[in-house]
Amino acid sequence: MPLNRRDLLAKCMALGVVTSTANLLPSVLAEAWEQKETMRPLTPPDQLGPFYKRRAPGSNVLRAPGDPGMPLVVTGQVFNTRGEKIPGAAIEIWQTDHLGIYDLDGYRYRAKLAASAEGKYDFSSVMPGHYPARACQHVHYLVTAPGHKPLITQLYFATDPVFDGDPDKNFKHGDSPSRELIRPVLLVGDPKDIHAAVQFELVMGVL
Amino acid sequence: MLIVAITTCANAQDIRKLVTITTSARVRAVSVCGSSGLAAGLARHGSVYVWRLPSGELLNSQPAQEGVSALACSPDGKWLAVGKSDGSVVVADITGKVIRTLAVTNLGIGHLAFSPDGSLLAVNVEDAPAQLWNPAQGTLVAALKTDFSGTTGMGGSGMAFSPDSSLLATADGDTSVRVYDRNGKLKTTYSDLLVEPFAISFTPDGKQVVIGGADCMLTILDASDAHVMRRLAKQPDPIFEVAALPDGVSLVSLHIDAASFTKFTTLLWNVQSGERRKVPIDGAHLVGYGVTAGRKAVVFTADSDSSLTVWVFPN
Repeated sequence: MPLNRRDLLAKCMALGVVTSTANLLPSVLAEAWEQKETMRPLTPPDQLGPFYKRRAPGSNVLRAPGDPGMPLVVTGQVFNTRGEKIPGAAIEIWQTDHLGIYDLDGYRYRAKLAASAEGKYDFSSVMPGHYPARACQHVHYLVTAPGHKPLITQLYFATDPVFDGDPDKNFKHGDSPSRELIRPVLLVGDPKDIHAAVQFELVMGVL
Repeated sequence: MLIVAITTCANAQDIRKLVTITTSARVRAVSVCGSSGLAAGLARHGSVYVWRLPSGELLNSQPAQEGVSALACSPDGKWLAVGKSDGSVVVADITGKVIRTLAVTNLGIGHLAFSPDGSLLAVNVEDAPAQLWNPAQGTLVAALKTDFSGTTGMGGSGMAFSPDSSLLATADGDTSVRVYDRNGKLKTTYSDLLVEPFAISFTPDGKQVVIGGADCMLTILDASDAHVMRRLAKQPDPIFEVAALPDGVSLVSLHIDAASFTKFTTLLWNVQSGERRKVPIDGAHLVGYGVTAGRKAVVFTADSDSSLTVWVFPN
């Protein structure tokens, strides 16, 4: 019969393989161990602006039929740093069109989504374009949820030409504040209907 | 209905070139030291310069420092506040002798602004709400709050003091405009904007706040209750800086096109008539504005060749 973490710790402590300097019970240590294992690092923050717009629509389909640009599908899940899923988290996203232009008058390529009961979200869009003030293609995020600190961040793409195929080596060529925000891009679908797929997990701080 | 006349060619009486200053490095921000007749500039590589106006004579220069991100000069021309990317603000005398260092934050310092009486220093912290400090005592007066994000600072500082130093207005990333008293107590909030305000200025009588931003429109608010008093004609490009001139009827707005971020347009507005005209400093980057001795409104533009031009508006 396999040992659970608590039993294993108790056995190890009894045999002297593991010692606790703080004189803690195996159950307390096991709980701390489990907590440590499920903890997630906070998603690195990034700047908000300059073209955030309130009251974006709730549709997760940002790409209209016939829109030029590489179709993009982003999926992800919202957690807190304790590793708990955050159902209903409000996820506001905004980006440029494929030419690097933000829609300031309307709400093209803008949305306010609600995470599912499992904390999951997804949206379809196009790969954002470049514009002179920024080195990298990016999607802005503002994530809010009761009991959590607002998370303002940006999603970047490992395929961005600025990284020359190697974001680890050429990270500093871009303007992402963190390597963690540069996500791998998978090209999926048949050649007639190909799209870029990206996963972007969001981890919020607890208030 | 507001009928707006546009003059496409520049009117030479609107603005004239006061002096061109040659700099060893491109200047990214200039702070006018009130009516002291001085102005201070921050170069891209971290050097600090102090010039005498209107001659443009260099009084003092401090060597390049790592991580210098913001500069403000006190209205009496005695103090410089230098913000750093490590979150500290160094208060020094005009020669650069350090008086004290304020440990403001662990984030970068975006912009700084002294109140007109010099008793307060507003600190725009990157990605966080602004803070209000007492520079003489080195104490925090108030850490301001937003719903999320910080005070904007895309072109100007996103912060403006009223001329009598009794009020501070902030343009915040959560799309609100907030007006505080000098103790940092929130007096009123304007929260009807859908997009971010970037530019903010008090009118010379201190009764109104002028804002502009991603909505490409100048809006005039009552400073006491934030109700909209007037909106001026919407423009094609977002507004990154606004300044109310001492004559009480003119506004200057800086517009940058949202597509390329390279086309700058400066407009001079008459608030009473709603008329506007282009000011012939297009293309140059506006790096500072202020009112100097003799209530002369001056604008500083950085040109591509490491020269700085000082423009003056007629009284």
